[in-house]
Amino acid sequence: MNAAPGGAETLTRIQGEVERAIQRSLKGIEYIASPSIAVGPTPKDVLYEQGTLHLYHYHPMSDEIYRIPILIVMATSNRGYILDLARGQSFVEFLLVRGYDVYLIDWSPPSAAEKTLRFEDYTQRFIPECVRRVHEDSGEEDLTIIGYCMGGVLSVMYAALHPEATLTNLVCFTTPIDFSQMELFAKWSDKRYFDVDRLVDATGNVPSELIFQSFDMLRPATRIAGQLQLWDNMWDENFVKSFRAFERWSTDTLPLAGEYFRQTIKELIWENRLFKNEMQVGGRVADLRNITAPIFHAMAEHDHIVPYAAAKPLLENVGSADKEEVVLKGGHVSLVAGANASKRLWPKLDAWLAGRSV
Amino acid sequence: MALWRDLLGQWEKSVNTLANQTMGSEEYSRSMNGAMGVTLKMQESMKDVMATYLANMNLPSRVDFTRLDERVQGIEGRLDRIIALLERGALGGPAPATPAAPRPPRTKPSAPGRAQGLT
Repeated sequence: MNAAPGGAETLTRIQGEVERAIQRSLKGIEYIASPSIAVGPTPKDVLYEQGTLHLYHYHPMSDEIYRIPILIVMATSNRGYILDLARGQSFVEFLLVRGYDVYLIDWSPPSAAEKTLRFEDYTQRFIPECVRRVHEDSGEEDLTIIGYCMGGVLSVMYAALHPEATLTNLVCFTTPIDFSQMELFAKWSDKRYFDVDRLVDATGNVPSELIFQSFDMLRPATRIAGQLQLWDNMWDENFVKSFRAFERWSTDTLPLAGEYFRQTIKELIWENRLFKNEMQVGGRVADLRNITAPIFHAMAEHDHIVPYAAAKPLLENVGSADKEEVVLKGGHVSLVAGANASKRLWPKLDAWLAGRSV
Repeated sequence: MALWRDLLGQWEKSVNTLANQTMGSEEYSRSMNGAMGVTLKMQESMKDVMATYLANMNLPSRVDFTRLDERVQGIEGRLDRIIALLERGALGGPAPATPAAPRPPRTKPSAPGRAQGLT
């Protein structure tokens, strides 16, 4: 006679759960005792630094590279290592292996003296200087710029303000253009109640804690749920490693330069000037119709920071004839750096960019 | 455990939705910004008291350090510009001592999906 199959299955499942419970306890102790996880493993050189700005050049990983280099512009509120979290989970590494020559603009906390930085500094001083240095270092006049979130906004402004620049391709990830659609941010900074002048005048640079809280409040239950998921998956080394890297990054927000923050609130969120083609930067208008380079915009289906409605108008408003929009599964961060990014966004971008990089 | 995971997912979604509804209200914006105003006022008062205290103790204040930082940054900026000019040979300086490491040729043809290693 055979034993009841249901009984054997139940026994196996119980054994599995007991095994996991033991592993959770053991790994849990290791987790608490272990130091912070290392991030940003891909070898790179510092090409240029100017206060809050750092320009890196990554060591090529291919015997033959595409002619046109890539300059990535990171969001001003977060560290660039999200794009280079760990070996095998790195957008930068992916690009290098695929034969691209990669440069990256990263930001560190602005000093007290840098509280006066404005969009003018970012788009008419920092990015142009980095573009010049990439040209010089690579020996190529052509260039692809990839901007992530507010890095995308800065890249779009740069492209709109410098129609004469040799920008060969523009790639944006989750880049907001219609700030009236950033619903919660718009409500929290309602001009009837939010005294941005008082905040900036009192703090100089806007503290990183405030930036972190603003992002965290968009999904207040997610951090608690994340901790419970961590406990549930504590037996899984890969899950824990990935969780820790993301956790480190998400809490490692940067302060924002005071004047830049003031402009963001007043001109982008209150007046929605970029969307209306009325954004004045250093006496010039950042008219999106000036952008004529081929453009690729990737957005996430479940982006709680930059909703689709806020990002969608980018391609509708630029002057480019060659343009492509993709909306992929994932959230604001997992789109570019999650475990599935290597299957969804990265190959899609490679397919679009390879033919435009020779 | 599967049931627990489902419940956790549902709880997270419902709490986030409810919180977003609450935080999207005008009352929330008013009270949050009101609270921030009070905090800022307290910080400003504290800053004034500390500034007076430090001045009386003949100690430098945060403002003094900021001014120093500005000056150091100004000097660093000038040095960067001088170094950049030297590197470009604009000041008649010597050529860089170490030549740059050889780079791969920029001849890769367009053929996506030919990568080795990562997928």
